[in-house]
Amino acid sequence: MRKLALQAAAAALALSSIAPATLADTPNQAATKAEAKRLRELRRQYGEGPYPDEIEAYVAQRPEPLRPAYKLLFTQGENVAVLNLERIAIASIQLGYYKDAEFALDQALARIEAVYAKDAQAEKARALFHKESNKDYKGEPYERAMAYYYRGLLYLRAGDYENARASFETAEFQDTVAEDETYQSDFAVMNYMSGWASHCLGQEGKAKEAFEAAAKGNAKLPAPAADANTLFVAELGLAPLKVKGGAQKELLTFGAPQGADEDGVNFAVSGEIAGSTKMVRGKKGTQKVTVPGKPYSGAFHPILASSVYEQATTRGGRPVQGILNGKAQFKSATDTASNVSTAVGSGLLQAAIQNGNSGLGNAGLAGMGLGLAMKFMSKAAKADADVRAWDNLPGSIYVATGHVPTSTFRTNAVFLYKDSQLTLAPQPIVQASAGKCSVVWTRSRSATGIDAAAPGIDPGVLRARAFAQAAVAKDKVFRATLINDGVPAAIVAPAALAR
Amino acid sequence: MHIARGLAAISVLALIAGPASTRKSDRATTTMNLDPSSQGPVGGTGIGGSDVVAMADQMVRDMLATPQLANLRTPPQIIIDAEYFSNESSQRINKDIITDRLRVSLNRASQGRFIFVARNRADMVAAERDAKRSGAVDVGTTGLTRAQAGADFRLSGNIASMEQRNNRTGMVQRFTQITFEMVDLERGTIVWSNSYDIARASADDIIYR
Repeated sequence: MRKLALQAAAAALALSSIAPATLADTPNQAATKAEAKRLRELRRQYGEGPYPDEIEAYVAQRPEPLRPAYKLLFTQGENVAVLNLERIAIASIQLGYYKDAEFALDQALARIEAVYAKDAQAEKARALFHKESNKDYKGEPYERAMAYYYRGLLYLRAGDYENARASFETAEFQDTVAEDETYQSDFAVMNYMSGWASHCLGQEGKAKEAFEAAAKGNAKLPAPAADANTLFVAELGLAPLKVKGGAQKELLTFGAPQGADEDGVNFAVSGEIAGSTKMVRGKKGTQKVTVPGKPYSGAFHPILASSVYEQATTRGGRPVQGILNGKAQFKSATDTASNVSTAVGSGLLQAAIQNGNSGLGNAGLAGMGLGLAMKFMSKAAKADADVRAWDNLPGSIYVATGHVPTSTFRTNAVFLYKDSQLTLAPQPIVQASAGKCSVVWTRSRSATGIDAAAPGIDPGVLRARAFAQAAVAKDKVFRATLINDGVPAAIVAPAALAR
Repeated sequence: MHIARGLAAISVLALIAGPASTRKSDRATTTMNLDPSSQGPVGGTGIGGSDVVAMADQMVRDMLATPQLANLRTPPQIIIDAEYFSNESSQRINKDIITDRLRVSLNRASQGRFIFVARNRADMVAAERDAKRSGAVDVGTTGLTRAQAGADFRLSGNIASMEQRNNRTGMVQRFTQITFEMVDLERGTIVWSNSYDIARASADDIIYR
């Protein structure tokens, strides 16, 4: 009897612990229950997240003009993290949020450098019934090279020439994958920039080697003069377009972007050479003489160093193409087999109806059933090439170097088409003199004038990730890392940006 | 019945004609540690955290075993920072990670056999010295000196690397050599030197090549 009473008491206690909040709950208990209920509701509506309040809290910490891009980064997860980070990086450079740009590129490069061995999403991308875009995006070699190029530019801006050189060298190394040896290591601008970094370090031997390598890729690229202290970089045109080709969309092909004709650029520089004092020995002994400052002006005419479009199109066959071709073959073969089976089956069925032959009828039905099954398999196979693309890249990169006798100067850029001045919306000019050398960078087309989401992203692939345990876990870690390790908030627009 | 079998055969052929089977070289190969003294299969990746720890440990032991450095009657004053430690490799790196680790490990292990000069904090020291001498703060407890400490030796070094790629297999190889030299700041001679080699190779999944 006593045992029964104890069991009843235990049951009552257990029931009370799962009962809804009552007057007997302490405020803490009530709050915990309310939070648990809220999370249950969120999970029901949004699965494993991200939840609206999480997104809002993360995005609110980011600079206002970059918030839409950061929102995509947070919500689209690891699958397109590199692409979103790269787009954020260039926009940040243009807007003057250099910390954001450095953070974004470091994050992107860490992923590009990671070796994806035994990765579930990489396995899936190879599988017959899944698209290539299931893999986490790392970009094609020209895109990877450009990520290193922008990191190198930021190092140049900060006066860290050693890491700038390392970045440009790694950028150039990305180009060694070209199938045709003629196009291996021909990304001349990367060698040139690497040489420039060595020049700024005073390592002329290394600089000479790099400039010679650049000249092999582009014979028109002259090595800088010995007293050159300023690098001018202008990015012209629009990014290469990725297009699906082939009967089953299995080929990655490139299209030249339209609507950007500029083919030249001129920089005009003006400033003040600071005054100085010097000791002069005269009849009355040594005297301090003041040399007054004087105005300075100069013009620089960059030349085409490398075409990004050419780099994209001269890579040759991708190793992954073999897999995509196999998938395409399967699709075609099963489709043909389906058509044959269905036609034969249909014919047999008609003959069976006319002749009243049940054996023929069964064979006809079997043939049609088989045809249907093959059609289903053909449709289910996914041979599509991955056409996710870094769309705020330029079409080409122009460079010039020269001596500017002051580190405080103003720069103006004019873009040309067949030597005539073009009227383009003015873009910011990034200018820095942190170390021994100065760097000036601008572009003809805005890095922010692009669609909100990157081109080529397959919404179906992103939706399907919500049902893949490994991908869900990866994205949760990704978001947590962004929240914890994100670049320090810089909400106020930087004032030092030259326009 | 023969017709049904024929159709089935067509289907099987279609399936066989499907995607090319995955070759061994298509699969990813995880990064592997290699013996730096022997040639790897193709190549590798760069300096990692474990390398910094192992490298610092090796250099500290070697420096403490060098009589010209560790057995001097008067403990030498040494500068170990990244000022003369260059990076000529193709790996982006914060050099302070290497030199800071080396300085801290050597300081702890040497137990007074070396005196370390914080030249990278000379501004901080100068500000405090000025404050003491101007009377803004008192003179502290260890007394005043005529000047900040000069150094007998300073660490210099270089990081260099060499990369190779095998386009057929997707293997990428990197050889990294980090050299360390302790320079006598009066005579310009090198009293100690050593190097650390890293050779690694890896191949990404074929889907990324």
